[in-house]
Amino acid sequence: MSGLRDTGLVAGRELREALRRKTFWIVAALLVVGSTAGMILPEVVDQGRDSYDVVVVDGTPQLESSLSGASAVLDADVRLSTAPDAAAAQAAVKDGDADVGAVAGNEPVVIVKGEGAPELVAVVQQALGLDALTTRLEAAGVSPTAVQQVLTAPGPTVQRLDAGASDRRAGAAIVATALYLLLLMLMIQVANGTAIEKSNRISEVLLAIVRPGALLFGKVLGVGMVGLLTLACGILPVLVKLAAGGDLPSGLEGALAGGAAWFILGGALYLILAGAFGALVERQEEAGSAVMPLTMTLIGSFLVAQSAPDSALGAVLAYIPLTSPLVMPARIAMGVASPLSMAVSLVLSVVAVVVAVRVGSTVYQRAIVRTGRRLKLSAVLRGA
Amino acid sequence: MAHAAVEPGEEQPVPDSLRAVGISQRFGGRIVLDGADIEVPAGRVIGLLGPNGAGKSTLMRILFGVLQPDAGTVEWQGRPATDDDRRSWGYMPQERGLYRDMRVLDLLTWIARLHGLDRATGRARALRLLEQLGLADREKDKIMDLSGGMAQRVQLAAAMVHEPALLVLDEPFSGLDPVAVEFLSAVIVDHVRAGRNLLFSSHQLDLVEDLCETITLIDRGRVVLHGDLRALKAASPDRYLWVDVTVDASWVDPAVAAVTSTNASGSRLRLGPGADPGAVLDLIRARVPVTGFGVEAPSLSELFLAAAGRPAVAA
Repeated sequence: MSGLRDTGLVAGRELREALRRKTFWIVAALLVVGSTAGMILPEVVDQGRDSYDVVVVDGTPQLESSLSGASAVLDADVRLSTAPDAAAAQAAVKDGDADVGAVAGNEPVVIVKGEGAPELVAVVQQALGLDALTTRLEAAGVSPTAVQQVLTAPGPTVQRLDAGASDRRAGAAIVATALYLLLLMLMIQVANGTAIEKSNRISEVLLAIVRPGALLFGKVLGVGMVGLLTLACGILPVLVKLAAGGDLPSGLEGALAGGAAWFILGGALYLILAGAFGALVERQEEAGSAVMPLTMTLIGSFLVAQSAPDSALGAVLAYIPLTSPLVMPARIAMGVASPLSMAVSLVLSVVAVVVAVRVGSTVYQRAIVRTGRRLKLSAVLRGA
Repeated sequence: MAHAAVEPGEEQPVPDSLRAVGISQRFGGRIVLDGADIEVPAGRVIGLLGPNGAGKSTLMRILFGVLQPDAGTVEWQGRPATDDDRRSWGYMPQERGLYRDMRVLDLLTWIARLHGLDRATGRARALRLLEQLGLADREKDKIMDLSGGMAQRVQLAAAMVHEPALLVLDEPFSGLDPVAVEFLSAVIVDHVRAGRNLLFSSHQLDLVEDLCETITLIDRGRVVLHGDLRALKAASPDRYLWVDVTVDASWVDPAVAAVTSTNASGSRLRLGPGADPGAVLDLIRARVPVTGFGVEAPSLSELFLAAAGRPAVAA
């Protein structure tokens, strides 16, 4: 099977030469640093919790304990201080020494500046109300034990539907962005490489030795491996965090696993077509504009994957080979992709890759030895 | 091994030879090759000659399967050439091309491996070839850092690194300085003296006249003359008188002798049928003193012009 060996040799050269280039290592280093920062920063930020200062007037021990206990509800530290009267509390809030003032008694008052700290205001309001209620119940002759029993009766728990939807959306967005940027980069790289080979005329030397299919597929494979290495640099910190038992946005794992399958197929498809388009140009500078139709398709599917993967448009685009690589992983991350739709989409992608290899290498072979002007795709396909 | 002038398509195929028969190719409405034949036996320097645009490069591309011809077959050792056969050949296209950012030795080793050699053998042959080509100290340099002449030699090395049975060079002499022409000629002669096959093309007929043993002259996609160069010259009825002075066309009756070219070293006249060179020389000597003269068979370009039926000197 000299075809396989040739493909391997062509891919090996791409990989070796890429690893020799400084740009590869710069991009890899940036990805490792960026991704590590993305994994560590939320943890670091979590350490610095919010803290609230509450100034209390005429507080009872019970009031103070229920205010301190509110720190769990608010997910913040609550620091208490006391003031001799309501006027002093007002001054403290006005000066910003305290966030909220709590004046206990028969007519409890919450002092707050402007519209600030609504959650804290609600908590303090509730604590003051409870305190007033307890005082009145005891005054009416109810035993403190009974009061305690009644007031510690369990309150309703909140049942949230669609929990973690925003997290999943975030996971989908991360995956789609990473795939989008990577595909865009690799596509330009393949088209550029092909255009360089054509304008350098090395393609004729190679075509005399190697079948065009092996040449095109080897390049796609080599550049794709460079892409996977790059991707691995970005994913490594995620895996490390996962192994260390850290939190990930829920849905990220699924999106990553699904993303891998579509990335490989979609990547192959985009890169093969990019190679064929790159063979049409006369000068290397035209490579970017030659792959414009692919770039536009990629940008379009990125936008849908980012904004509305769960829409009807997203459902349709998840089947179409050129748009599915970005849209389908996003739908998987959102949890709206059925196993059947995933299977159908995968099969369509495989078929598209097979067709692309055939058409791509025909275009590549015909176009790469025809120099002197930029070629039209339709003319090359007709063989004219 | 004697190779007489052969008429392709009629003779038995020579065992270790390359033959292309009846090759036709058109691009759009333009006919580039029209039933061209060529034969490249082992052990002889074969020149595929003709003006620019005659179809030489297209024919070579077809030999290597870079282009699929509309008609005709390419045979190697008496049977249709396969991809594996072609892998054992070496090709230097007219449009030179290398990966400019690759190192010389890496590139040559890689190309040797594409030709089927393993890495160690490929590397060893590349090193030996670089030594022969005087590039031993540049193996680690990138192609883009080489001078034009050195890059040319690396291009030649890329075509030869796997020690091909058949070496095909498209316009190998174009753009070379005289030293490089000598060097390349020696490489070509060495290759065929080792009993291997070689075909090269050129439009500079006078430059390669001394190198060619067998020629195929091609014009407008058709082979117009083919055979052993010395035999073709001997068989030509044309004779030329060369004198070391500038001859005015009016001095001699054009039916007897026509001035075909004049340059710094003198004039050249084609003698008419039955013309006496001594009489023509006397006519010239009656005008100016002549110190150097000679009667010669046609040069390669004169053979071409006669065969192509063209009045003017080819490009």
